[in-house]
Amino acid sequence: MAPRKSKTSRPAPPSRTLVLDNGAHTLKAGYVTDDDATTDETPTVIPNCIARDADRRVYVGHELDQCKDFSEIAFRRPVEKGFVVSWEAQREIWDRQFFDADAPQGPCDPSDTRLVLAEHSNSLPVLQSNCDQMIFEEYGFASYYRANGPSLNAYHDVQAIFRTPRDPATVAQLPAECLLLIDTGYSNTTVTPLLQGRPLHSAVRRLDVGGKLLTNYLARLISLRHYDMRNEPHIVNEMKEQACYVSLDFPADLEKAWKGTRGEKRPDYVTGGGIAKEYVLPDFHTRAKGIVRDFDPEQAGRARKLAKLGEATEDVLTLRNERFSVPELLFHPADIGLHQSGLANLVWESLLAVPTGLWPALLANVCVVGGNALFDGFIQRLQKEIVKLVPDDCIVRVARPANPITSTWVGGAKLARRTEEMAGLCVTKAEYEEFGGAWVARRFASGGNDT
Amino acid sequence: MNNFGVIEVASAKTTNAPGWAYVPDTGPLSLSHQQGKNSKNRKRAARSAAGGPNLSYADLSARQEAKVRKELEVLDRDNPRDVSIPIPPKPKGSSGRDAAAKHTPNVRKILQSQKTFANHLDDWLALKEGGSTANTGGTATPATGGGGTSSSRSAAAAAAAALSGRKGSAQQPKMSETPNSRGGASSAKQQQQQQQQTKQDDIEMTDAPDVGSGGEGASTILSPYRGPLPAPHPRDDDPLLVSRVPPMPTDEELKALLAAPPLTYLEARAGWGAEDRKYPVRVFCEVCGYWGRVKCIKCGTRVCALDCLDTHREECVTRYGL
Repeated sequence: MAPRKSKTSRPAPPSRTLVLDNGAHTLKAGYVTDDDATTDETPTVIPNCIARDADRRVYVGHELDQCKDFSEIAFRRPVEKGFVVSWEAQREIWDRQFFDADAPQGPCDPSDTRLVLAEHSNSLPVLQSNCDQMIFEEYGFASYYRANGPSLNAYHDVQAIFRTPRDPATVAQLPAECLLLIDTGYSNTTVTPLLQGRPLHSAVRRLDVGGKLLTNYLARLISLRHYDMRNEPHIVNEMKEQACYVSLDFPADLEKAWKGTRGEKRPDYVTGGGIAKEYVLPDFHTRAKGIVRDFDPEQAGRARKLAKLGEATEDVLTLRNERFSVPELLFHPADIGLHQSGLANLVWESLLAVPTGLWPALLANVCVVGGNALFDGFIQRLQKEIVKLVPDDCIVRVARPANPITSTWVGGAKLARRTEEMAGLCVTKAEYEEFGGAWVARRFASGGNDT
Repeated sequence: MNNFGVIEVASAKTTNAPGWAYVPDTGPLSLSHQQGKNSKNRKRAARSAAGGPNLSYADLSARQEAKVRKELEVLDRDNPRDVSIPIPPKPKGSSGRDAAAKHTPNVRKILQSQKTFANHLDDWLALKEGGSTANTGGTATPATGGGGTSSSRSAAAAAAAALSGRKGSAQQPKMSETPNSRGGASSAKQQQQQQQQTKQDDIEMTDAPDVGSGGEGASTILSPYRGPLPAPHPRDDDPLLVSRVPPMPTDEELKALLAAPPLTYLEARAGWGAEDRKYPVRVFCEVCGYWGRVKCIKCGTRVCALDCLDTHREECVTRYGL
């Protein structure tokens, strides 16, 4: 162990802060320095995975950009269910992204850097202590704050997201006073009520439906109805991002997308009914990305003839109810036999755990972050379902920030800029060495407990 | 007892009907057992034990449940197949942090661990069950900053506890947790002393410094409303028009709420509450995704109409025969 430093010779705070939102699908990272005000705008978003393509070439993290052919690609992800589990893989990705001499943003010297690491709620203590040990013992960061990811979002100007009419001169209150944050990411979806930027832990609820499950479900549906796409997670994921939407009226849309009984083809089915879309699959020679286009019955008929002759130049899938029945799982997980509440009921469950007096404030500030928030119609549908559940007197406002994927990161960057608040939250390496890991864990767990 | 006027006549005579008989349908598990006991027809018992064609409705639903569970597991995977991608070697010429640098024992243990999240969850459950008496509070994680060996030992012990019967080895993780109990002598008194000692250690440790003053008033957690008030209206006092505002929670309530410890991983999982049970589960056509209005007689799969039923039959026949 390194020689202990006495408390009096406390080093000056490090010059810059690495803010890191280590998601299961992508990691969002960027440096924040106190003097440069523009650094907290956009993080680097890189895939948090080690991938191997069909030629058995391996890509780590940001190297995936060089990959040209995504067919049959396989992923190894260090983060499971939102928590870093495989540190062996995570270390390799971090090394290449931050610490190697040829790192994209220049090598980072951990001993002169502060780390703000966003973690998922309700982690296992073992994984938390593993994380602390890796940060201090392997990397040796000067100081470190393991923040609760959802709560970082409170450092946005939340009222601007909701477009609250107000005097333009008012300074936003940071952190936001009351916020009901829904984080719907790759592994799962959590509902976290926040008070003064601090999570009300007893009311945090999790639904085990995330982007991964939706992608896999879409892959299964397509494999049943069209081609076997189970080995193409990347293509299916792109398809999901481009073509899927959340239906505002599920039964009506389902009706429109139905082919009808035997002998009668419904007109909506023949014309597409505004729902059917064609997805042109990428072949990775002439087309690197799939294309969504409107369903055109005549063209589809011609293409079918060509395909029969074996002269088709493109592989086309017609997506009908797959487009909305996949994101529907967020609202009705029971559709695939997953016995959990849907998202609106999840909000309700969470509300039941907080005093009624806070409901109006929380419901007027429901903020959705995470990749799934990008589905068209998600916000409107969620608002519609929550309004149905809660008392009539409550005003329900649901909104998402401009970029829901980097929202947590930007919030973390804003927090990192508030120097005096950070000083109270961070743990320095010297403190870790002096008081040990259990103390650090307790300190982060009580994070901002001023009783 | 109201038997609807039916009077049962006791008789010792049982007829062995040649082809068939009514048998009580008591669910998937006890079905074969019941039959084996009741009827002397060994053939039928064997057939039903093998899951033959005379399946009951309960049997089907049990099988479907298992199928759903398996499908959910598949949906939760990162890759459709089992793949193991080893860490690639560093590209040549990259001089970064020295990869061969010495790791501390803790780090080496973490890096070499091949555990998945499910393993960690099982470990933690075993640890919680076995070591709940020795732990002081929720933060008593096995690993500490100083010594790494004790934590690996306790993890191994926990794994052992999870594998073997709970009762026998439940003491083990408890033992390895307290760092002073290396001697091995474990009289109750000694253990009590040790526990007291660890408690005293806890008290000596300085707790996390208060982190507060994050922009909140000294007296109350919630800031009062300072914006413009709506214009007064002559019927503001009309009891019929007064809006009911729930009382705000007191500061003590809010503080207690903020100080509540995080829920554990399993506690935070959303349940299947009364609100969700209010409506029947929706079923869909397994072929086209429309409502599942028709059920295949053979396998219970839901389909929407005759077209899809035909498509399904082709598959059903290959799987279950005619």
